[in-house]
Amino acid sequence: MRLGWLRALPRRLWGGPAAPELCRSLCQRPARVPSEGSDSAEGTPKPRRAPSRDPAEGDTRGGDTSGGDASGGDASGGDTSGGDASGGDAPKPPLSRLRSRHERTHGDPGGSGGRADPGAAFEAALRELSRAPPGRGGRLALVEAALAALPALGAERSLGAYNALLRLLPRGAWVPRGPVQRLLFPFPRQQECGLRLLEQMERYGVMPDAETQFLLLGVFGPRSRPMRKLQRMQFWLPRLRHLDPHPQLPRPLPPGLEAARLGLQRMACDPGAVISVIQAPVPDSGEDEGSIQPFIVSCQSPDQRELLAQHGPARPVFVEGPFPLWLRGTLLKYFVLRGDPLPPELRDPPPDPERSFYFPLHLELELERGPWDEDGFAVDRAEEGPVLALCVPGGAARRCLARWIAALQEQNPALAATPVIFRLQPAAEPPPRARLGQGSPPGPGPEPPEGRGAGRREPRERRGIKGCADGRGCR
Amino acid sequence: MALAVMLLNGASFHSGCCRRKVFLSSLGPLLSNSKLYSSYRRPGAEPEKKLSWQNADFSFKKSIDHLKTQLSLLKKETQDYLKGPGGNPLSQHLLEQTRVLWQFRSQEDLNKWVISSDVEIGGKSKVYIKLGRNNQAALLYGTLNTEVPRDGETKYSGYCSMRSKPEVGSFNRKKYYDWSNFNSLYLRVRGDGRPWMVNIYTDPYFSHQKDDLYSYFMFTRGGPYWEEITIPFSKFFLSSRGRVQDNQHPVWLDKVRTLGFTIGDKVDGPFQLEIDFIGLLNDRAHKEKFAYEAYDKNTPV
Repeated sequence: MRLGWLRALPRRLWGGPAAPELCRSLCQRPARVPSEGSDSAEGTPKPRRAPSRDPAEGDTRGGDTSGGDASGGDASGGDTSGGDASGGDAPKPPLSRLRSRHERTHGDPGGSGGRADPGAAFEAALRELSRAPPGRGGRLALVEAALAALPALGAERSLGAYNALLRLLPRGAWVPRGPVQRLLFPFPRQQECGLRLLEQMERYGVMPDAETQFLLLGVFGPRSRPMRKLQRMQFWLPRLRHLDPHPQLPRPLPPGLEAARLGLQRMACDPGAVISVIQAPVPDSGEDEGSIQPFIVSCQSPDQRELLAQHGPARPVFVEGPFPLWLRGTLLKYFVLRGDPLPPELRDPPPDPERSFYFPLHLELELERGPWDEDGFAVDRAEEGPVLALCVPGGAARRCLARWIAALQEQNPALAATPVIFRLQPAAEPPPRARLGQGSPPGPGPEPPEGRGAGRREPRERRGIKGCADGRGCR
Repeated sequence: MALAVMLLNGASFHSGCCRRKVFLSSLGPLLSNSKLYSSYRRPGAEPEKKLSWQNADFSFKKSIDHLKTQLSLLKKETQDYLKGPGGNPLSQHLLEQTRVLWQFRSQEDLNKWVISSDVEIGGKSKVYIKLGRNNQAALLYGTLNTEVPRDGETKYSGYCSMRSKPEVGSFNRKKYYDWSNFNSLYLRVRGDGRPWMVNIYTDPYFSHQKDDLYSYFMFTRGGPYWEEITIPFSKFFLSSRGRVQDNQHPVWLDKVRTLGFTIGDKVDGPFQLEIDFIGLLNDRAHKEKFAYEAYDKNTPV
């Protein structure tokens, strides 16, 4: 069949050999195809395609774009000259520039000082790899394997590592030539590899920079799927990045005592709360911090001290816990010193015995407020006793808590006369069998209301996270 | 004439469609065990062998009971309709600035919610819900496990969620929440420092939008104090199957079907969230209509 009318179509519609050239010129790299001499000066050598095609890099272009296909095959096969061995000798200005930028942008606030950055080490390894490439193909498989290995190497949050991976991919060979090829989802495995890389960046919250955009533009061309994904990330990541209203935690989180201090700062809503170290850890740093003597950190605000002073010795106070607190990826256990909820006759000030119901001394008329200004919720809020102090122990709970209460008694003399009841829950037990899709948990049942001895404890109430359903008596 | 016949045909076809839909929804209690509404099938799982009507229970007594229940519901709806919008007098409807949607004080309140986790896709997370101390709040707790099921297809795992059951009227008619008088969601919660996602599901007209969710985040502080979180509805963004969509629009507040909470912060370990009540608030200081740009974002590069 003669398709003479095909030739009459504008040449740009089918794409021509100019598209890779255009991308390469965008990347400011010398062209590879015509002259082998210029190829040797190339910084990051392009992977050459093996004669027997690697399945991971398989070319899946259809035959209907044959004009572009043939020239593309030529273009990718044209660089079989030995530019790779000598390519490593040339200095790589974009690499060095990139590294410096990476160190600038990815500097961790907490811990980039003394330790070597795993991202930088990974980048150096990739640089070595690009200097002496293992073979002609397999870059796609290499990038995918590296993506899977990044979390294990600790470089999953380093932007430079991702950029270095993108730099391994060839420029221009996977750019569709013309709108028809672009419509047909060209190079699906290659584009999906790019998408996977971007998705992993998104998963670990790495914000792509202009370098990433530049590299993706060279590898996949404009309006490709990785480019679209990058645009979406550039749009959404800055919007959703700083939504957390709480003070930002350092990354990585410091271990031990410092983490406990940060946790107490986060939990105490009062800026005047005093965080005091009751017992310092004995090896006070390093891996085995607190192995001989664990730390105890306590937190009490002036208001809480006042509440504790007003709390009469007739009613007991309770030590409850442990409750979990997550600081990004670190689990802390904290304990609460809590009073009973006050009975209503103590909560409100007593009415004036002299007052008259018929001739009140002051009127509470709010003439400027209409019936549409009622902003309260018609609900009885969950009530609990006042929190009197907080504690994060570093080791075994019972001993630490006794020490904590002793230290609190020094600061609050009223506590010495007050009975303290320890209402601790056993260590986390796995709750019974998972039953999904139903509102009721497996077998909690109503608690027996009263009259349990202190030592007796039914196994039924030794479950999970909150032990006692009723207010008291469980010791 | 031909046009009129065509119109008539169209009308009858349309009404027939609707009637079939009503018939299907009235079959709901019969087909309660079937998986008509869940389209997800785990990779590697066998397709359902039994036909859907084979699970139906055609007992006469059950249908009479069902009819009684539905008729009493219909009676209550009629009375509410005569009283005013939403069963409240008109003055309250016009003047209310806050509304309590859900509070957790008894087991019936917990039964209005459905909990689920990635066990559905083969994961290993666990989630439970129960009443808190003194029957005062709902305690949603469990363990998050990000271990990916080994079926060769699933890439991510590790989520737990809690979702309100969609409201239905008598004879299983769909009912929607109309929240258009309010502009903020109000939650009184106590968490453990982990972030949660708040999802609003609005009933779509087309079935290809059935996975659309409007989401925003709820960052709990942790600690022994209750916190009161206000989330304006203008902040909710549209996502479908976990992907944020390019074309955004404000949430349809008059077609809200369910509200849900999801945890999936990629951290293995126990979590817990206590919810006291969930309400709506008309925050008159909040003037924002929509927080995200609504223009076309796929401009040529």
